[in-house]
Amino acid sequence: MKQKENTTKEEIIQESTITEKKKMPKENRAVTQEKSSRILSIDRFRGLCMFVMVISFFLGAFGETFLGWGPIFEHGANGFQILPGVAFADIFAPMFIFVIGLTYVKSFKSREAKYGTKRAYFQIATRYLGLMGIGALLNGFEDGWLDVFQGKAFAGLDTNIKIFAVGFFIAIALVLLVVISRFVKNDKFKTVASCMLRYFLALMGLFVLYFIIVSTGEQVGNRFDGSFTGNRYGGWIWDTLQNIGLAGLLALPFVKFNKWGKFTMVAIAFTAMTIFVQNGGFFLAQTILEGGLLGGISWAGILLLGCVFIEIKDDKKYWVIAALMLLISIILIVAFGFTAAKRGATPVYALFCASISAIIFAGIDALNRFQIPKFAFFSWWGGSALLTYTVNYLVCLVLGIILEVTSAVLPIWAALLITVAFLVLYTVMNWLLYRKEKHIRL
Amino acid sequence: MEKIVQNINVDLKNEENAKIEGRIKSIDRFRGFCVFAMLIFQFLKNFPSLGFLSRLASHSLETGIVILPGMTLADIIAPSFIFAIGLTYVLAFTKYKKLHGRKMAYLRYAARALSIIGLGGFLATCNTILDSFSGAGFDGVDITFIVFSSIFLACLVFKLITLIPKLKNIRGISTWVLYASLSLVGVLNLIVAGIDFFTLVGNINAQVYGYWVTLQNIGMACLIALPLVECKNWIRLIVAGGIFVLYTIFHQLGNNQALLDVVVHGGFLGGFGWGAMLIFDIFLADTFIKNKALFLSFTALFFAVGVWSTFFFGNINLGSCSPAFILTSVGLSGLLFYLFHLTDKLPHFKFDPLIWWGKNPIIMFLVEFFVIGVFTELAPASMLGNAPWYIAAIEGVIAVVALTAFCYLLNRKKKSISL
Repeated sequence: MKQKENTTKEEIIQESTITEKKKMPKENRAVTQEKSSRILSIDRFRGLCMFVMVISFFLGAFGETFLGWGPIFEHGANGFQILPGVAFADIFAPMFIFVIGLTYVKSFKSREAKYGTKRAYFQIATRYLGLMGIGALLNGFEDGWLDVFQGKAFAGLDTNIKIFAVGFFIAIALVLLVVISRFVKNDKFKTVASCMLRYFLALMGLFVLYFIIVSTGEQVGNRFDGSFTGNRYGGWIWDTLQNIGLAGLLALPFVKFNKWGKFTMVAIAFTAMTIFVQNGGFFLAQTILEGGLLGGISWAGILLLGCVFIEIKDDKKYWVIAALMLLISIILIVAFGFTAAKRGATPVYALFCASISAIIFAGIDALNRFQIPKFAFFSWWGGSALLTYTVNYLVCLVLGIILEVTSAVLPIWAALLITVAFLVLYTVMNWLLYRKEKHIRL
Repeated sequence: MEKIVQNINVDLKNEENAKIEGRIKSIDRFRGFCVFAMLIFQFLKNFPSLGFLSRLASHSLETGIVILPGMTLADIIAPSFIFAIGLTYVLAFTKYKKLHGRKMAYLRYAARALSIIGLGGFLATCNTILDSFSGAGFDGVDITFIVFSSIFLACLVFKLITLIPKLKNIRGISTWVLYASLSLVGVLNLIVAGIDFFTLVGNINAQVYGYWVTLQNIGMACLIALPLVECKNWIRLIVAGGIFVLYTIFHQLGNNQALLDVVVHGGFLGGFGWGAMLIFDIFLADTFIKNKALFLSFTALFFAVGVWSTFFFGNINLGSCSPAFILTSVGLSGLLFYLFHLTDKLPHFKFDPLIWWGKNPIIMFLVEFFVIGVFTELAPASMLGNAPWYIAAIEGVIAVVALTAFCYLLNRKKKSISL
């Protein structure tokens, strides 16, 4: 009932806004345009990150074909170094998390306005746990079923992989259920189906969280306790989506802090983490992709900085803070030799990437001044990032397997042709979704 | 009603004046700090017993205080001084143009830049003469410099004579004659520096004439920046960027860094690097007047990109005026100035020694050369290198107090020499 009342109120507000728009003088229209362009620039930025990420996935999937191009898309020491320890390809993942930060608070607030604070926290937590779950389920397919298809016994898989491998098919079944529910004129069925999928993914996310804490403990134990050989559930299961999910979860307690509160929390966390990393703690972070649990603090910091920057977007302080952050990170990395690495996600690396992201975002936002809003290529790409990521992950996985099984090394022109074909396909997919205003979200 | 409007206008004007005065105060303080650092730290360099104080003015990575890769604390003073010039360059030019017209303003500022080079040449000539006392001979270039410097001295005497009230009418002419004579030394200095550069391009180990120190770089930077004094700010940025890119390409190619390292601060070609630096500074100064936050952002970005560039272009190197040095110096001196700008918000006191120091940089430069230089040449080792710390400290305190008093007197009597 309460919800209905809210909806009615919103509708009334929307209606009155439309009426106002009609009567609106030119200056006010400019303000509204600016508001909508703000979202446009975030979409563009997200789209740009996705576009780059998809290309780098493809370049990697073709194996030896693009061996000579390695420095462009490889991470860490193998990539083209833009700073000691930081490769060119290392700055795009943080950019994506920064973009999430740009809409993080807005997303929370809109949920809070609709459903209340507690449910907003719950929904956001479920969302990011779900992201972690999707990441792990994809790993369940890659590290579980693919091994089984190649002759490995299911019983021989690690416990954690088994869970996610089974979960993969349950998730597929639930996705199908959701799709079917869209064709049935029964709202309750739709709600139940989508809730089942969402909560199942969140459950998988909880498993991920549990396993990463266990594995981190085991790493410490293995290092310091000679008699301990911890490997209760198997090795790490950690990838990009798990990392994004963890960042979103760790940032959640601070979502209601004001901008300076968030900034202070990041400053405190980064300072403490830097002291820890610079005094031997790096070993723990670098054992796993993106730093695992420990690196999650840095990624959450990047996300929170995204929240801060969107709040000060039209403020003079925006450039001052971005420039000073860049300065501090570069001095610490170049002049003082502080460890900067994506693998391990050291705070100085995070600070550097967040400031670069802020500068690039300001640049993209400045494009609005040139009044080219019709150029929506990257906006389409930014519309359904999760779907594009998941589809692309599976496509590249299959492509990699085919090439591996057939031991084929495609010539560069053929590989480029395939890449471009898929890029066109993804563009059409995103364009259609964007046009119909359908966004695949958790 | 009209009265009220007038009053408001007067109030606004006063406020504006106070703001400008405040700005000038911080510029003077900043310039004063640079001059103070140049003189006093240079003086303290003679006393090893003073520990880190004696290392403040050292450009050597072994003995100096290293703050960034390849850069010591002392390396930032000259760029800061150039930054101080950049802060007032356009304002002073515009003021002069309003009084005397555009043509005269350009002529005056070209002569000013050449005179700064000339003054450097004159001081270098004095050094050559001092060296001759210990047996070093003169070559053709030395003799030419001595002749041109003598002409300058004669013109200086003429200028001093015209200070007699009766000769007031020809005072203006005498000033231009003095400028012309000093500019001639500057032109000669540029030609010799150019010859040095091409000699080194032919053979890096060849003997060069030298005649190139900090003042020549400052003068050359002023000369290069002159055509851009009335340009839009973004054009300045593009031109400075263009010069910087071309200079960087040359600096990074082959053995060119070593070639630029032979003569002090990059020599003749290095002057273009210093020129780019001054134009960047002017760009920042203009930004500072319009938008303080943007200024702070730009300086931080310059600094960040400068330090970042060491990863690609190698260490910061004052000796060859390396690209990383240019960018880092622009940013760092800008940030340093911003700290001084913050002092404008503090209550003002009459006792403001850095302002006194900042009013007469040319006189203080000459004091450093002729007073401190002569003292350090003539004083016994027991008073310098071998002096215990307490003697050194006493000498240091005397130097600070005496020179500050000298600056205060000049300031109080409103005596100043400006080129």
